[in-house]
Amino acid sequence: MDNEKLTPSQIFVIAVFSILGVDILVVPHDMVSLADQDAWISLLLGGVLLFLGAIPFLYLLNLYPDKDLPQIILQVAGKWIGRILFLPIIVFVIMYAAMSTRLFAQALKLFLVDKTPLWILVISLVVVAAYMVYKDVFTLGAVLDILFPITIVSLLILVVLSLQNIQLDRIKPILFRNTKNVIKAILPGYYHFAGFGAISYFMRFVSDMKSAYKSYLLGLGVPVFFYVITTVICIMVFGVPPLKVIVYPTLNLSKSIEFEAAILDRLESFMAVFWISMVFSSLAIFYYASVRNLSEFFSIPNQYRTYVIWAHILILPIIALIPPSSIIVFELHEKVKYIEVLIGFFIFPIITAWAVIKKKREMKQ
Amino acid sequence: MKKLKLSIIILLISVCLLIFTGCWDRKDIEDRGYVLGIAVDSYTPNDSQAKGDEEKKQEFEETQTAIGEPLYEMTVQLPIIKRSPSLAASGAGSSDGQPKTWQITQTGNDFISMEREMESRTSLTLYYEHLQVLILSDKVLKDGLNNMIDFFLRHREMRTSVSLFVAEGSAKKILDVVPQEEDHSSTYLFELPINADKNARIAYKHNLGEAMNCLRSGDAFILPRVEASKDEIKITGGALIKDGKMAGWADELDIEVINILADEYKGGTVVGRLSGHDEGIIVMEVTDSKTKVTPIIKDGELSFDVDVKVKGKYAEQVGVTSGGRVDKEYIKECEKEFARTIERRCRITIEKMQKEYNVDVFQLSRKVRTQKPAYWEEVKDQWDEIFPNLDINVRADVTIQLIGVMK
Amino acid sequence: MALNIFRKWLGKGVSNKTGNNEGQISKDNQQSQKDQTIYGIKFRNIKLTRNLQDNITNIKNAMNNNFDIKTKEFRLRGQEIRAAVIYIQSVANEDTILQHIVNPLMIESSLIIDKDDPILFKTIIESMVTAEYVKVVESLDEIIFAIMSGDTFLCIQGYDKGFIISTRKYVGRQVGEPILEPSVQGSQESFTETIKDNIGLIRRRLRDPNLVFNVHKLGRRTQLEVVVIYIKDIANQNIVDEVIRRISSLDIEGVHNAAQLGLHITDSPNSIFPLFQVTERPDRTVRGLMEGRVAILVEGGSRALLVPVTLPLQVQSVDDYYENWIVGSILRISRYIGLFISSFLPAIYIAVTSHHPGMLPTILVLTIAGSRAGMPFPGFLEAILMEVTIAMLQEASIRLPRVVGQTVSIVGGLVVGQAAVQAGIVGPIMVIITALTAIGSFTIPDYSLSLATRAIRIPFMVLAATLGIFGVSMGMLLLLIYIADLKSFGVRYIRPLSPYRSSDLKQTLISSKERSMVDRPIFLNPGDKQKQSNAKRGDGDGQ
Repeated sequence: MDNEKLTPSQIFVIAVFSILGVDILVVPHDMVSLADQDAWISLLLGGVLLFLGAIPFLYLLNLYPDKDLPQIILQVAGKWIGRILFLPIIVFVIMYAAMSTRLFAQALKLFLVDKTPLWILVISLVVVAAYMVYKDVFTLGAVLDILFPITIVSLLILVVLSLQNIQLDRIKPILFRNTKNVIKAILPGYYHFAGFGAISYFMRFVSDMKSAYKSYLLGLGVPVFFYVITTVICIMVFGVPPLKVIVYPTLNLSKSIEFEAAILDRLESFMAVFWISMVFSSLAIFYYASVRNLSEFFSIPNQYRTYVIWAHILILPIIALIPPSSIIVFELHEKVKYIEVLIGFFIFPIITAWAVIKKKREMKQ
Repeated sequence: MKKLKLSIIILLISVCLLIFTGCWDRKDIEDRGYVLGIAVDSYTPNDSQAKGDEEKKQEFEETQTAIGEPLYEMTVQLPIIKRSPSLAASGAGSSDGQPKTWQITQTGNDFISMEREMESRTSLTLYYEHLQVLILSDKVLKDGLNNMIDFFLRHREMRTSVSLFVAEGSAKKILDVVPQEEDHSSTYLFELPINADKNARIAYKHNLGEAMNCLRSGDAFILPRVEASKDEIKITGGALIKDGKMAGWADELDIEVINILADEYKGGTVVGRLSGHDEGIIVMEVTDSKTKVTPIIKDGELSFDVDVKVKGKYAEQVGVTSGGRVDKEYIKECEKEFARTIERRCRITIEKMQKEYNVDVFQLSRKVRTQKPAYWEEVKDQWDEIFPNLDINVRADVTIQLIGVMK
Repeated sequence: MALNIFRKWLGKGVSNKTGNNEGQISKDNQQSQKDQTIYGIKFRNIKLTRNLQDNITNIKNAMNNNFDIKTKEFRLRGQEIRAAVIYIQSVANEDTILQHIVNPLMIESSLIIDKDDPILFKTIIESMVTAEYVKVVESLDEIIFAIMSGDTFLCIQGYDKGFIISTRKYVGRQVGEPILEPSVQGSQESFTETIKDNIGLIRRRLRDPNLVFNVHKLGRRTQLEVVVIYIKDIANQNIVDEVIRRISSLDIEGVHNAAQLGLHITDSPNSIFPLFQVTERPDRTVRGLMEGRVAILVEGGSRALLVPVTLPLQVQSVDDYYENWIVGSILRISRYIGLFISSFLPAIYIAVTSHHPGMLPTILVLTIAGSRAGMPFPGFLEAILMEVTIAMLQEASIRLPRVVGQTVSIVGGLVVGQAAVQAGIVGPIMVIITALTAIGSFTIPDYSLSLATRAIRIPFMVLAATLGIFGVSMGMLLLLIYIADLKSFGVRYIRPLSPYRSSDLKQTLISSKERSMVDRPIFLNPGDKQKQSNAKRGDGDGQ
């Protein structure tokens, strides 16, 4: 019992939540602004890009099965170059966690608690996530395991109930004089799947590597599916021009559902409640990743891990609360994802190549 | 142990902090004013005849505007929530004669200021999540829906399912109706279109979300028109909205046709007159209908084919003298007659929309945009010139499935 | 060691199986726990002397000459050799002593023992004393402990050794009906205060030679028997070892109840959720044993302790297995709903009414607002008031005799509730909510778990009043993390909800077809994984 392991099904869930997060609230708006009614195609292609990035990444993890990302980077690239290469990842993880918290807190303020100050929302989310990380990885796995069906069912309910409002012709014409925009939007589509690397912090606790890889790739499919389907449904329900001005289309989508059964009449508050658990899950994953990052970066021994967790309770809300207005938050949320491109297309390939060369050299010796 | 004590102290402190400083959003359920309906009129200066209490009230209704002159007059309807003395007995039965709603009117040129001004007249906090209907006067619509709707779209408490109605003249009057069954005129009005599946003369979609989508996409649409007596409200036709402005009225028969072309023909009746029977009329009850609108481009000319497939019941015959049996041939004849009637009705309305109003209320432009995108790119700026001259061919196909309990 | 006991039991035959276990107890434990007992420290080094009178005085003095310590002196072998039995009147069976010890020794001794021969201990044990268990002893601590337990000490003049003869008297009630865990279809027997009877109740339901009884003696002063029971080839050895380790490392004055023992050996003493299952039902205990769990019985306590336990297991009731799987699943799901309602309903009510009336349908909002119009207290205080009232009512109805209890519930529930509503202190909706909460808590089969829901209710109400439904969700997340982190003897408290495994879930979360439950739930890491044969009954294929 003491040597607890994460099961492949938990890896699946972690993979899902490392991507499925607050982005689902804004994806339709962001993508439609770029590629009109064909946004979902770009998003789908972005998903393909995600898989193309994830497979070499798995290969890298496979080379060091008992290490997580920071350890691998520091081992492969050495103490100093490793730290330089590592820096963007640290910044990305912290910024990503902070910005999604802020973004979600804003959505909560809009749809659930109007007058409650922003800092209360941000801090309570962060503190609960801190409590989560304070417990061990296996508790994290168990909690996400339980939150997973709730989240998925709530999203499915939303999709199914929205079907009564759709007008199929709103998604047409498909790819008419729009191919250029669609291709341009692939990369922004890919940004929305940022965070696929988070799995590297959990792979070393896995019991069965082979099936864990499989369930990881399977898990990446779930957010791609939901992002694409939400975008499609939003386009079909609202049409392109309104989508360009709606800030949180997915929440508006739940607002537009009229359901006769009285208690589900007002779906959006229920949805907001379920999405709390979804955003919390992704926050917890990134919180954990950030704690690992900082501990490794400053070589903090394991017994002081608690202090790193405490420090995050300060750092994250401060970063989250710095942007003065919601428009700046949206901008920052976008910009943080540019780092993802740097990481995905520059740092990961370098590390992987380096690792392969190093391993081969070791083999020769 | 020490750690435990520390965490308990931290917990206690945070709980105390939360309780004493928190509760930002807390407001007990009875302390909110649930706005059930809003009526928007354009601003009319006070009549100077009012005296005494009336005068005072009119004074209250004026909002001091910081910039510009008042443009609008907003009336909100709040339910009067009173605890009945014998609650243990049955509901609220004994409050006959007392008003059940409270209408507050305020004038101004932006709605948020009007709302805040109202709050100085009521002890309740206005709350819009339960808003059912938004009634606009035709004057407001003629000034432009786009101009005033922003408040209702941007406000966090507004729901997209709020029903929009248009009133000719004063919108406020609709809210003043004291309905027979319901407690509040807003709920009464909100539930009226429920019968749209029995009567095709009620405009099918008219909520805030739909309106926003149409406004943003630049499509024309209709909003149902309501008229009121002292204790009744009736939906009578609709207002045509084009480019966010009211372009004219559609009567009830027009609405029927608009519903047919929008493939929202859920029910209703078709009345025909057989050629052999001068006096009598025959009536069909529509049970199901499917409409297909196809844009056709032939030699660079756009035209539309409208296929209406209607299924129905032979419902009634009035003054049909032949006394003939309802048999196969007779039904065939009836089907043809009903189809003719539908086609005729459609032609009249289509022509009216094309020639009289030039309002593409059938949203044909959307069909072109989605199905003939290349053609749309060429003509999208001249749609107003193309639409009145479009060739729209309506073909109706009626099937009578049931004939009732008599042959 | 456990196996040893079992072998001995087989050797002694089936007829006196339960009594025999009692006999083993003193023997097994004097090695392992001597150091902890007050007997050990004080009397270990005092040995018997050859003088009978001295011995009697020593023993009586050691037990402070209490009035119920009886000594009967008599003569052996034709009145020549003096002997004595010492016992405690209140715990020893005097009939047995007279019939099986004194009578044979006084009357038959002259026939068997020759006048000149020395008395052979072997002869006495084998040929004269007809009691079930006889043991030769020489140190005072053993003797005192035996006498305390109800055995009789036989001492003969001129020998520095004596006999301990089992003559225990079991005074206790008959096997009664389960009070706390009644069942509709299940057996109507419950454990009694006598460990012997309890073991019998288990044995009768489980004729498995692999059933192991591992006996410990616990408590510095009470020295009561604690029996650890498990099925050897099902229970996970790690769990068994852990249970035994925790029990034997306890150094406490004593426990009188299984629940009390549970608190001593639980993983986290601060947990508001019960990390062990206390049951009064033998059939549930047997069910638990067959799931691979470990049962613990304590002498004098009428409950069994089942460990490890997880949340879904605590929501199960024995009745689930006596119904068709569809009906059983519905029963179980209704219990989950009850669990949810009893923990969160008041909080959700407060959050929705005071923060988000938008979540309710319009008519309902107006109804609730109408019922609350003119109330003196805000919704939160109203809820707290009702919560305190219902907690007091529940407590009062337990304390009072059963006859009066009825009156209390009528006065409290009906009269006070009705009057409070009519006086306009409490809204009628709040009364409904509180009643629903109470009903929800009654659906939970595990009493400790239903108390735990009461404990989390008020913090959630505070969260609801401050942060609305957001606060409630955050609280639920905190609670979930808390629960997910709890462990009961190394097994996570939320298993098998996570990690996901469909056959475990089928059996624990909902009920499943008896026929399809081939595998044992794996989350307890059982040894023997299969419960029943895989083949379908009534299959004509003859596979």
